[in-house]
Amino acid sequence: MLELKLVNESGVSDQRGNLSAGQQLKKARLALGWDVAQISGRLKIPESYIHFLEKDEYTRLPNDTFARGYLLAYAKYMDMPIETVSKAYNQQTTPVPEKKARRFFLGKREVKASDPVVLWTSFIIAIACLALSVLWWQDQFEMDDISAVVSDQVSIKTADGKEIIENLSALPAKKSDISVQPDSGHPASDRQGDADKISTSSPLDTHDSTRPESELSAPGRQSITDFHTQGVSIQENILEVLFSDASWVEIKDARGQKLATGVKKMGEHLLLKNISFFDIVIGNAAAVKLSYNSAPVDLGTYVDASNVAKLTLGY
Amino acid sequence: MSLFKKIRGLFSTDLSIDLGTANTLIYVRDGGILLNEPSVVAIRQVGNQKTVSAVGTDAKRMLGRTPGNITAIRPLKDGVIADFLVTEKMLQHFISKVHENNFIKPSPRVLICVPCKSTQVERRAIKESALGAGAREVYLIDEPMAAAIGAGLPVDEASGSMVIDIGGGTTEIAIISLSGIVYAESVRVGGDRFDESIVTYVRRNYGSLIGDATAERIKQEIGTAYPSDEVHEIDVRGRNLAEGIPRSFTLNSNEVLESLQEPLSVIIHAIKSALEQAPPELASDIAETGLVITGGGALLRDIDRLISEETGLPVIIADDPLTCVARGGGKALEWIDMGLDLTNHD
Repeated sequence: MLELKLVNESGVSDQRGNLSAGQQLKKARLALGWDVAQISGRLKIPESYIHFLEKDEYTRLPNDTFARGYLLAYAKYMDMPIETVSKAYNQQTTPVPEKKARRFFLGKREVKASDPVVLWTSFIIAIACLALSVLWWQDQFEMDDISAVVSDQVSIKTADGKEIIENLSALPAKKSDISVQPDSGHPASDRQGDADKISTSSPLDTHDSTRPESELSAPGRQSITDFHTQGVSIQENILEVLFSDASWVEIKDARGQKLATGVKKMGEHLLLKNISFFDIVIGNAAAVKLSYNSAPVDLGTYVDASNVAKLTLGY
Repeated sequence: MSLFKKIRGLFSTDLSIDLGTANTLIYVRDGGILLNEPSVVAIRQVGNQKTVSAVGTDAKRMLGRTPGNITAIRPLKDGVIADFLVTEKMLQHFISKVHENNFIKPSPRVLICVPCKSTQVERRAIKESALGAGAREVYLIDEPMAAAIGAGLPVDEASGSMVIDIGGGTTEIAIISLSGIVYAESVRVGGDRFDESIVTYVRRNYGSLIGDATAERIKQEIGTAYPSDEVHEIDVRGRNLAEGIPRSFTLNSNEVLESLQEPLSVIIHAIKSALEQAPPELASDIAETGLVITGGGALLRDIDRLISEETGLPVIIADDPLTCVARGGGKALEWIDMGLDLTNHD
């Protein structure tokens, strides 16, 4: 409850000559010729309290609520203006802040949005959330690129606009099954020169430092190649087909994926690299020269009566 | 409690609500009494659809003056909820009114004062109503406890304090010591019963019918609880029941006193009963310090004199008696944060 600090302990009039609340009441009572017992009998307030009121000794009364209540009841009975007495009483007493009176309570404090701590904490959390969102978005973006490359089909373009499609996502996961011997006999210069004919790329591409960057047609390709060939040594298998006359060809890989198909014109040159297994069907085989890993393949042994050669290369 | 309500709670202010039959007062922490409006809601009915037309002061002006499709109702009766949905709407309106920031729907902690003799169902209804109105947490406190805190009585001390809260619907009488209610009594007599008594008196003695609003005005202007040499008069206009046309007549304060005898005697009887029931030590404390009156009924002229003469004890009227309960509730909310919980956990 409110505790009171007596400002004017003496209860005498202040320097301006204004009477204190108790003095006003006493003066009014004496003017009416009443004694304290009469007041006490009418208001039912103990006589001692009436004396304390008149002497402005409010701290000797039960508490501020009662002190004020008795004072106003007394003033009302004396037919005095309550506001004047109340004002005089307020000037004489100074309420002690309640928090000091109740500071022995220990407990949680309700936090409001206007609290600077809350504001700053919210601000920092908001910034952190924003930064995390940006980082996550960047990660997602990179993952999208990777997944796009992994799931997409890689187009293999010939010099004359033909395409060879390789579905990267359909590749077997276990690279270790592929045992490839390094082809020491295959000169790097040959491979470099392939770019103007047919450039191929597949997940089985080894990371060849000698290969020109122009062969990487999709962003992120390098990282994919790294990913797929990590810890695995794979040799390039090169199939080279030269058409000296119009012919028809269909080349599939181990999974039956068509690597090249269609009619080829005279003089066309087809180069397929890094495919471990070729299932080849060639029409007009007599007009076709085929070499595998730079070694010529005699198609005559595979040609049937209709001049169609069917053969498989690789493993 | 949902996370969303907690976040909204950061943008809300703690409220103490004196959900009274006559008036609803809202005390805002660190802001004082921000709302003091009549507990009246005007409902407009279009077809089967009912919408809230006005709340508070605007709605009170409509009381008894509404066309067929508008009903001005008081959703609380005798201190408890009579119409759950309308109370919820009214609370929703008042809560949003005391929050200046309308961008985020407020979700404050709310402390509501309830009559000490209200039933569990009635308390539950008040709590659900406040939750429905958007409150984050709802605490209930007995009205006399809130009134005592608001009046500044030493509720946490080992001395008895007696408080009489004369509200619109009920009069709460309690003896409090050591932060608890030792004895409490609630009688369903308050300002509304005073008004009804005046209406009945005028009808019986003047053959005229007056409305509740007129009766309230008579009570406020010339109403008195104790005979006095000073007689006040007021001109009243009502519908003469015999002729069926409006007539004017003059009422004096002694007539009003006569009309109020019945409800006042109920209150006096309840006070005497409480004093009889008080433990001797507390009765001794009360005899020394006296009783404190709060609530709108404390403004009735010479009510303190009446109680004092009837009980032989000093009676004081609390400072700003109308807002005592709401202010006390606000302090109780602060005390909850400081570790002293005076709320009701039934």
